[in-house]
Amino acid sequence: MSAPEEFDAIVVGGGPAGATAATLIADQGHRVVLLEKQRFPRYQIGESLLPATVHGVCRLLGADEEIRRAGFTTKRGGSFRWGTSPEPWNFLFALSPELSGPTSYAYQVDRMTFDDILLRNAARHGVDVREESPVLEAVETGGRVTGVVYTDPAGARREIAAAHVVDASGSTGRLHAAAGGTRRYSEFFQNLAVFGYFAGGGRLPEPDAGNILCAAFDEGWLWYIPLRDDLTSVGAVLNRDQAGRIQADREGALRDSIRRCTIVRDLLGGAERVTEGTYGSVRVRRDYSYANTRFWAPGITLVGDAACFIDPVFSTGVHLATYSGLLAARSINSVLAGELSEERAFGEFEGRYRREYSVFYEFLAAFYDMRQREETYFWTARKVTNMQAGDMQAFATLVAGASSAETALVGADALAERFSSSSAELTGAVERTGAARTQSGERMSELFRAPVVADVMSEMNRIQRRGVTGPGTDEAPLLEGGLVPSADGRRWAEPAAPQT
Amino acid sequence: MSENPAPSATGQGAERSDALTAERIRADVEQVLGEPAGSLGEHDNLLDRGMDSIRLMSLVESWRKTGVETDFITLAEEPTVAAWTRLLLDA
Ligand SMILES: Cc1cc2nc3c(=O)[nH]c(=O)nc-3n(C[C@H](O)[C@H](O)[C@H](O)COP(=O)(O)OP(=O)(O)OC[C@H]3O[C@@H](n4cnc5c(N)ncnc54)[C@H](O)[C@@H]3O)c2cc1C
Repeated sequence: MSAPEEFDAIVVGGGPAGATAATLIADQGHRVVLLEKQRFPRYQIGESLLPATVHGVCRLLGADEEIRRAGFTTKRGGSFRWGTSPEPWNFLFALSPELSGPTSYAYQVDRMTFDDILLRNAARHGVDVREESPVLEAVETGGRVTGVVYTDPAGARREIAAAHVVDASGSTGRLHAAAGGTRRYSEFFQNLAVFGYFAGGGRLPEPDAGNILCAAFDEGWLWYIPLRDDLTSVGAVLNRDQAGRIQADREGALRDSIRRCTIVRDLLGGAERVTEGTYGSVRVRRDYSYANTRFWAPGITLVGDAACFIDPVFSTGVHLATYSGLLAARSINSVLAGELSEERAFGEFEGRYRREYSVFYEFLAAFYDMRQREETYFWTARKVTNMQAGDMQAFATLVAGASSAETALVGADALAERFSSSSAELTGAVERTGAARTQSGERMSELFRAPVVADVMSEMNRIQRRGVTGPGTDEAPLLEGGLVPSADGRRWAEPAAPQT
Repeated sequence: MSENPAPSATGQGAERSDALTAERIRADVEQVLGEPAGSLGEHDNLLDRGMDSIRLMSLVESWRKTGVETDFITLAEEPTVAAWTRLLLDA
């Protein structure tokens, strides 16, 4: 091999996490190369987005207009047949009809198109995008990651050196090991998903026709995503002990789940499953929740599914991917500009990222804990009271990374209690909100006020607001003793002295 | 702040380092709504005057920076200058 090419940053993986990080680093004038194993457009699961991605990060990336023009289905929230009521209820992005503003919606996207837009946009922003270029391993020099080895499209091994490597290679990449941590799986959220696509299929009544529907049934729950007028994404999330049955007959497992879930069965009616092309197969994915014990080490940063993953019931994957891409870019830009030490810059990255992961994790625990009409094995096994002490401890360790000494000291019992009360508050809020398209069901104040929901919304709201109102340094630090975004949103800054 | 197209609280309001006062609450609200100073009634429903969720989030963010405890939902429930002055200053 000849002498390695040199860049300021190497990004591995061209999904939403990688495209976000690469674009925002290149925007500051740094030399960035992005290495992607496949050729885009490529298939990916994870089709239901949140407003923080669409109006926050995509705006910062300068891709919001193109995304708006792509004609994706507009989603004003999620509809849930979940809990004790037979009627679906809504989790809307707008607090109330009066406060439904220009950012109170997101999209259902076909990821081939969405990811391709973000990757081409990265190239337009100066990123050297190289497809069909799988990374084989990290190069380490003196305890620091200093580059990667990859195979170019002609099959030649090449080495690239850079001050920073960003691992955005998704859940199947192996580069994360170079950060020196281990991947911890939740004992609790180890589900399997089996999914396919249907031509046509009914829609919820307007204005909810674009919503994702998540519907509980005896053995798990189903998602129903209106991707296009003539295309619906349907997937079943089942217990992992179903693996054998699913592998033996994927199509049968999916059909069987649909048959047992009245609302989805009725919506699908006679719609035929697509059997040709990209959408023509029934796929299976593990969707175990996990997080790595380290999110960065000198020279390497993990973002998106390479760092952590959470059960898909709230459509959080792409949000966590783009959010962590943004955080990593801010840290790398600050370090490259010589403005902050690595400890300080990446400490902020890891602290915010773990905070975001853990608030979603707590929401997830509360959500699965809600009393259901179907109190079967699948649901009782997911009660907070059945969480193992080990799982709680694992969660405490996760949060401990978040530089909050106080949370780290919370024991498993105290956490179980907190999760149980979050769940009770959530159940109460859902009951008071009531069914979709009733007067109360259009108003989200009960839900948004539930502490676990408020925690989940706070950073997403900031990201969105910044996307819309543009530059400014008007945020208070999120973490104690932490940093704030710089005026242009692409680096970190020390907060101004406290105002008293 | 010159590149900032949308009306927001990221201008003046955030730059000021003084503590929150009734006068500042009113001035910040008038600014994000693009209303002339002194034009808002104490009890005008701000939603009818063009307050939307992003403007409201901007206000919450800049007021929290002065050290007050508040949130989006609390303010959204009683959208008047009078109520906000009470909620923010009578802690
Ligand atoms: C069943 C299921 C349902 C889901 N539903 C949703 C949903 O509704 N909404 C949502 O937001 N999220 C959802 N998700 C999560 C979502 O799919 C992911 O969180 C998201 O795609 C992560 O983005 P990423 O950029 O981190 O990784 P990816 O999108 O996986 O991108 C990683 C890229 O890295 C490339 N790569 C891998 N290895 C290498 C290598 N060695 N060298 C170079 N390139 C490499 C891959 O080819 C790929 O293009 C779901 C997940 C599952 C399992």
